[in-house]
Amino acid sequence: MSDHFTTTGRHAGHRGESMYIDARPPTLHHRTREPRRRPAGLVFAGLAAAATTVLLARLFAGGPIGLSDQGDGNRLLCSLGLRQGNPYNSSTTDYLYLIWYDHTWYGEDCGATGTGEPYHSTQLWLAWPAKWLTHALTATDGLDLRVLGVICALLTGLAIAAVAMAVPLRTVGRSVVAGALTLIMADGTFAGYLISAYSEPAGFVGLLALVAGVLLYLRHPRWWGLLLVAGAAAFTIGAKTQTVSLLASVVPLLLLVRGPPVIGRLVVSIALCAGTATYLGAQPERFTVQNDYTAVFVEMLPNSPDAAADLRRLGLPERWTSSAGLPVNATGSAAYDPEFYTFSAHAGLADRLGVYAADPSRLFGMLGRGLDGMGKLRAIYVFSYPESAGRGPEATECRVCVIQILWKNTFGKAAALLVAAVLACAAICAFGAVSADRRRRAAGGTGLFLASAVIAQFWAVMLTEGASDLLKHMVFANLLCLILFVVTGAALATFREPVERDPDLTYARAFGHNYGRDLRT
Amino acid sequence: MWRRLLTGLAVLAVLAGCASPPQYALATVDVPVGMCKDKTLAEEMAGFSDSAPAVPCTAPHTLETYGSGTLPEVVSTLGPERPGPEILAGVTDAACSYDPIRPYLGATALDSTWGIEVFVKFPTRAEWAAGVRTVLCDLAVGTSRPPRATLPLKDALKYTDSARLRMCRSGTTVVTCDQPHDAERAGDVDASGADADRTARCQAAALTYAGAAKPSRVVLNDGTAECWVTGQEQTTGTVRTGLVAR
Repeated sequence: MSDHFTTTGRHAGHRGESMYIDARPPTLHHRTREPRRRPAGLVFAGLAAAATTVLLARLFAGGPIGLSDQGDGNRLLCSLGLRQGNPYNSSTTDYLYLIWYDHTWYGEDCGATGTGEPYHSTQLWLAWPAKWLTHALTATDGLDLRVLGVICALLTGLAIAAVAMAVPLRTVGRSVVAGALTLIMADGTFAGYLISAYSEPAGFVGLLALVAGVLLYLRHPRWWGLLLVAGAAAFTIGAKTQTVSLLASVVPLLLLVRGPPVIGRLVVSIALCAGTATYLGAQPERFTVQNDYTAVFVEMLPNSPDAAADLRRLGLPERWTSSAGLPVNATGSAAYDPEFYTFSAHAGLADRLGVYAADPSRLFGMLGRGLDGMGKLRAIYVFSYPESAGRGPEATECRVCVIQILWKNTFGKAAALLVAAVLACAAICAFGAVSADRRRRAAGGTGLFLASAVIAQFWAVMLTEGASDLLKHMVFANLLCLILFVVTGAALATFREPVERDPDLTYARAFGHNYGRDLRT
Repeated sequence: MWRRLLTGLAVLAVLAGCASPPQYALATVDVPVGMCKDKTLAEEMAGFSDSAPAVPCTAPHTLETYGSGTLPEVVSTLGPERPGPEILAGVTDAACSYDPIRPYLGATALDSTWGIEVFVKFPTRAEWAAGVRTVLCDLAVGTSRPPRATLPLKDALKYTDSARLRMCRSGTTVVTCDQPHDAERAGDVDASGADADRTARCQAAALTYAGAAKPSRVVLNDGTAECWVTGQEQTTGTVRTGLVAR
């Protein structure tokens, strides 16, 4: 860490504690005195340790809590040769089962429910070492979700510290940012995922790393920052397919922010898109069918002024109006009709957008339903405690609930406030993004990035899955929104900081780089 | 730092990719009648295909193949991709006939079974793409509890250990006869005529079933006259006569 986290100390009134990557050779230094080395690595380690400790305490003090599996967990962890520890043919939703035992799965028994297609997620990169550690440290043959929780808490703590260090503020400001992010991640809305069989934790860690990367890249647009942003985006998208909407924010960032040569930025962007396409292509086709079904029968038709007309427009049988509002596997679902075989060919995203394009006002209704879902913040149909906790089935913990209480008492009561808040944050951040000061540009640009990511994620969820399992699917939109609020606060704080000038022309010319805006200042 | 982090992640990715691939056993079309499989999880039992290796039917197992079937043309001709699970679930009754089950179990007209379920296993996606449309018709015992049998179901009702498959009743609760019970079903009788006629028919059926005169009663149930051999106290096991030891 100390290799890169050096300080400048060049400006009057500037305590030089902001993270700055100074790659200039000593001969080009214009400073007249040796820079004082600030213990940036120590600050990073301290923030990471503090965040991790808080997360671990809220997860384990008073007995472990997590999230029960409402069906998605098995398809992930079975690929590591694991089965959940629930009694035969019992519900996995009522309680959190902490132990997943070693098990040999054959053929299509493991994978997407009903088809056995393999499910891929970068969460497996966290679960695999957790399984190994469980074998190494305990007598359990399998995976102890508590071990996975420790790993996830550690990575989340590191990612929180990375964001805090990337924020262009002094140590106090960074500590406040780290504290706010820790409070968010420790909230019952998000913390339970860390001890669960779900793939969200990798997405959370990836998102935080992405925010850190964007902050750094906007301040120092160089190769390593470019690769960090692309890598973090790839890791996040690889965790949950719904986060593919991040491409709508990341690719413009990579292409438009001048720094590394344009050909390099183009190659990285194309590689990211190609990798994402490959990943999406490798995901179970069953998910696509389920999402298409949900988008039509659970979101579109029940809220349609003329469901039969919608089906006609999609080229689907009008008799399927009777399936409106029914889940895919419910009695009466159109999915049981042999004619459903060609459903996805008629009801893909482009086809559905065509229906909405014919009457765009329907999107306002969808917006309202989505905002209502976001306003609830926490998925209340997955539960927190193992049976051994003695709280009975379907018990939900609330050890740290500051965020959800504040959120539900504002956005939960007036969902439109959420739109206003995001737009206000975007406006504030836009003001910073056009500043000549690099720190303000970084914080403001990151805020704009997050605002666009919130909007893209919101519509990705609403247009691909809609009302089904909405609260859980909105978890990334909610997290992005909360991080946006924190980054907007940091952007406001940068206006109180002294101006940090860009590298001078001599430096830029010496290295032959066009640092874009830097050259014009 | 970042380089090390990325290197670490890359190593983890490679290691994660080393997870053992699933093992495959006989192709669906090659599975013979009487083959047993041991699937211990509800998720496995509910799987739409079966690639687990066979186990001896005298070893703990959960599924036993009693035959094979074909899919209705409306589904089998849909295309090269296997239809979704809902479409397949909609044709399970048509795919596997129940008619061969009683002969397979060695049941006579007087024998009634309880707790036996039919599971239909379809070709894998790869087999479907290759043109296979044969389905496997499997029997499972007692899916509401850990369903592991250690004896084959083939002709099982001919043996003295068949109480685990027979229908008995404890009060109003239907149980298998290896559980405490106070009545055992001895088949159905002609429901026509007066009560006395039905009772006489039931007594005759009970005599044939148990090999000796036993108290019995008729229970009219949805147009069927069920004949039950009854007892004064709770008991376990079967009163069926003519069974042989394995």
